[in-house]
Amino acid sequence: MLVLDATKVSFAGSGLGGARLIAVDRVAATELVSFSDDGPHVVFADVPQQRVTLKLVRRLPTGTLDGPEPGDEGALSFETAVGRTDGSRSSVSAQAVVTKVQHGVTREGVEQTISFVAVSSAGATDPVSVTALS
Amino acid sequence: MSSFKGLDLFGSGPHRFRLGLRRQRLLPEFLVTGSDNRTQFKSLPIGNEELSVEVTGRLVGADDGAVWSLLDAIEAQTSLTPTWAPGVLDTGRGQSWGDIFLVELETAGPFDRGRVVSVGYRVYFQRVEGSFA
Repeated sequence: MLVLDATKVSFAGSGLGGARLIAVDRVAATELVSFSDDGPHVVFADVPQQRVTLKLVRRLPTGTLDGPEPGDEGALSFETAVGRTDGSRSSVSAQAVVTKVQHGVTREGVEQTISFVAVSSAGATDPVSVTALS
Repeated sequence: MSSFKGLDLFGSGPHRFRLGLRRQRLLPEFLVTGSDNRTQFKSLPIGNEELSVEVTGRLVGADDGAVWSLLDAIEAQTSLTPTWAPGVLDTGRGQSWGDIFLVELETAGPFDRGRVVSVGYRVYFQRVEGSFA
């Protein structure tokens, strides 16, 4: 999932303005791959463990001395609307833990990149929920 | 399809067969004869190693209960009661071994729950040449 028009971005109750993009990546933490005696090809594959990570890239208008730190946990939420219309607005939220906070300088200014790992309320529940708003 | 005693114990998932160690068993001569010759170690052949076959694979089911049922079916073949009996282990690929016992079942780790529920396992078969009650 890649969101280029996120609005109302917040984490642990604090607003995070200037969002340029939010990426939700899903990667297998464990891959099961099995072969048989019948030949060279995989006959069984499954992903019993996966890691959902989120990356928020936002522009900072000024320098900052505070903000999220690795290990911080809270609800990361934002709204999105394809084409910036109200026609297909959605609310996305995930309980998440900060794993990385990085900064860089581009021609447009200062960018802050915050990386999260999403945490499921129960192992079987998708940690990212998407709710249609209209 | 592979089978043991005609039962499809492993067909729910991928599995592979491996022939166990084949060798002539040797014992130190002094254990057999009581010889106290200390100048040269000697061995005596005492017979062929009993044939063994290992099956490794993954049992796959729609839920935990289905996988437990598959494990139970294999475990039942290790039990002395009501009868621990040998049978034919057939790979389904043209190789089979008769008069072989299912001796051990061991899971390779916890259940894995992804698209399906599965668990890795190792099953050990052995021919038992001695007689027993």
